[in-house]
Amino acid sequence: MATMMGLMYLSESALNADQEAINITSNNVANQNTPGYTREVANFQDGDTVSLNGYQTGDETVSVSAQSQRDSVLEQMLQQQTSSSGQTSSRLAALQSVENLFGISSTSSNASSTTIGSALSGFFSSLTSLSANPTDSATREDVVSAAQTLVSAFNSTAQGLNSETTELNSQITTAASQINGLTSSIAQLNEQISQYSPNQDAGTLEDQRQEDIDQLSAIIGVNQLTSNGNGVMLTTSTGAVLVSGTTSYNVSTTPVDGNTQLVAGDPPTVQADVTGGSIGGMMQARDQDIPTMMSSLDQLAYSLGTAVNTQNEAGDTPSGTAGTAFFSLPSSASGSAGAISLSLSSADDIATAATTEGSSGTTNALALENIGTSAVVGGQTATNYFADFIGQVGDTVSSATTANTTATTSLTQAQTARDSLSAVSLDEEAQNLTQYQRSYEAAAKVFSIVNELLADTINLGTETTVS
Amino acid sequence: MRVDPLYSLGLSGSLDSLTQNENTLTEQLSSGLAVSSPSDNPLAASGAIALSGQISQDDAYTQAASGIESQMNVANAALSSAVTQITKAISLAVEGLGGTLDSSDITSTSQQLASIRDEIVSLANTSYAGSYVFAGTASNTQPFSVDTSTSPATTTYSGDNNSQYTETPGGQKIATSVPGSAIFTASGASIIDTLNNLVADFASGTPSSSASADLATLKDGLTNLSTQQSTLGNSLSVIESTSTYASTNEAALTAAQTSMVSTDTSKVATELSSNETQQQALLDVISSAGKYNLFSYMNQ
Repeated sequence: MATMMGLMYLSESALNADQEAINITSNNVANQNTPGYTREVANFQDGDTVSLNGYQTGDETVSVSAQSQRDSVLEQMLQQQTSSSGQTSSRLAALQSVENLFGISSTSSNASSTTIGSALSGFFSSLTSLSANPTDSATREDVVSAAQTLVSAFNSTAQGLNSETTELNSQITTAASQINGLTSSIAQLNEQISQYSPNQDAGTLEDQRQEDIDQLSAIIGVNQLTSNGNGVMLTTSTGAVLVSGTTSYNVSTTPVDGNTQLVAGDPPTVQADVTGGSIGGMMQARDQDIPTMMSSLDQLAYSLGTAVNTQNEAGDTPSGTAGTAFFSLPSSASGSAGAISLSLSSADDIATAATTEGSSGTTNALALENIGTSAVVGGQTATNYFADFIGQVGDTVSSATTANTTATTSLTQAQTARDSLSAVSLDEEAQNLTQYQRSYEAAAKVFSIVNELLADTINLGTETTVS
Repeated sequence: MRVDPLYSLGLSGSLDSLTQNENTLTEQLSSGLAVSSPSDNPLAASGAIALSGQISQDDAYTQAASGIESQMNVANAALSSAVTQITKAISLAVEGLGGTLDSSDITSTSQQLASIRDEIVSLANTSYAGSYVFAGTASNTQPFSVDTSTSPATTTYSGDNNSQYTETPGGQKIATSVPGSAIFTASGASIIDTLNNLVADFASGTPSSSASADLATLKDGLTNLSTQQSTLGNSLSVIESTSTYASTNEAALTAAQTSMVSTDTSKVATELSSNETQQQALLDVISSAGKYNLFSYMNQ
């Protein structure tokens, strides 16, 4: 049975509900630009009524709860794309930095001059001049200086690759140091969420946790599993646990064979080959891309150097002494590009004559010159091997660029999909605000009418009025 | 269906990539190179570098060949002079053996032959840029010396019997010199030794019994020298023609290389222009989109 007092309580609860709804709307508007914020909608709920002896009775109030508009599938997709995009972009940045070592410029005589390419051509040209004029001291000095230029080109390129590796190691350490702050924050949020809302969406707490997870994904790829009490368990791509329930497991870094590796999990073990995020991208560049390039250069330096050494040792210098090694090299190809150096003590040590010829014999000089056109490395001439190498470097960087563009596009799409559901639309909030405002006005009007009716009721049957 | 209210944030990504594109195109226009790093066009970069190796090889050969040609021309000129001198020696010897000259004339013939011999030795010791041309591969020391204290005089050759070589870009190995021992003191046809003998033959005023045999040997020597000169001449023409070919090839390869990596100016200019239009349009969209929402229109 409806009563006057009941009506008053009803309008009071309507006013409260509308006020709460307006609060929710204002909160949305205030947080429109908060990263990771999920918009809330006001959920109006009718009170429960029961039927007793034919009468409807019970809780007749209206209540409002805020419900976050969140889809965990969309959130996870966004998190994974963040991780992929983080990996592709940091790998690309490392590769582009390395590509600068192989820049192509244009000179007056050559439209495609690279440091090593020009040094190779210069060295072989100097040998051609030598075979035409084997005893001329200026020509011999030119060979020595061209050989030195070649050695410097190899050394400086190897050094450039090594310093990029060092830089990546240092960046990995820096990135890893950010992980612990995020994982401990996520563990704390897990605790709070399991305390306050273990069975339903936890509103802004979940927003914060998801934001932390996204930031973590940008650094390192994580696998996400839901656990008890609306908790989240995070592991690296290699299975090492980062967060489990309310506990976070710290990560650290340690050098292994000169490279910085991640130590994570319980118990902490070295995690090689982590993927995802900027750490995954940097490790990919450091452990795969750069070593491949270095190995090709080492092979070139070693094979070319050995061929020249062998040929020089096969002939005689103009003064009749046997030729010695031109270059000093390590015992195997590994590290040759960085370690190669000139071993001739003077231009006199270049063995231009065959052992059967006199001082101005040209046979060994011709053989040295022919190294430039013989297949000395990988079944190709030195210049063609280097040209192929440049093509491979170009392909690697170009495909990394494409991968990055694709990942960025996917990230934008995932972000759009998530925002379509969860981001605050000012138009919508304005409309809601108007609606709740009118609703409030109507409830207030109901209240004042009920108040008048109550006054009439009180004054029923008397002539004086109470107002 | 609800749309993404923050879509204009995604537009800034497009704006970034348009700006990046504009930078790349401008750089290509200013440097003239469409390929300045391997990833710009890996295939073109690789091809252009391989070509630059070949270009450099052709260029080196052309330059080396010009020095070699000069040396061979000097040798050739010396041999031509030698031919003239030997021909003169032959006619002097013929006259001496003819029986028409008296004793003092024959002695004077001997002296003339001696001076021709000295001239031949000097030609045989020709040098070019500090190296002796007819010394084989021992070109730091003077190859020929004659000791006139004996009669006939003795000749010493201190060079060796090797040749110097060069190799064309096509792989053909060509001798660029002939050792003096094969020209001037060839076995059985030695010019200098024969001249020494002829000088001794006519020195006494009466031709000796070996004079006519020596004359025959001298003629053989001249034939041998002419043969060697013509071999040298052939080598020289081969070098000249391969050098010309290398030079032409180099020009063709350079043109090919340039077209591989250089900017197509008109294409880039067009792209740049359309990029700028696109950029301007996007800026207009970004500035007008997201400007107004329902709040602006409420309570007016």
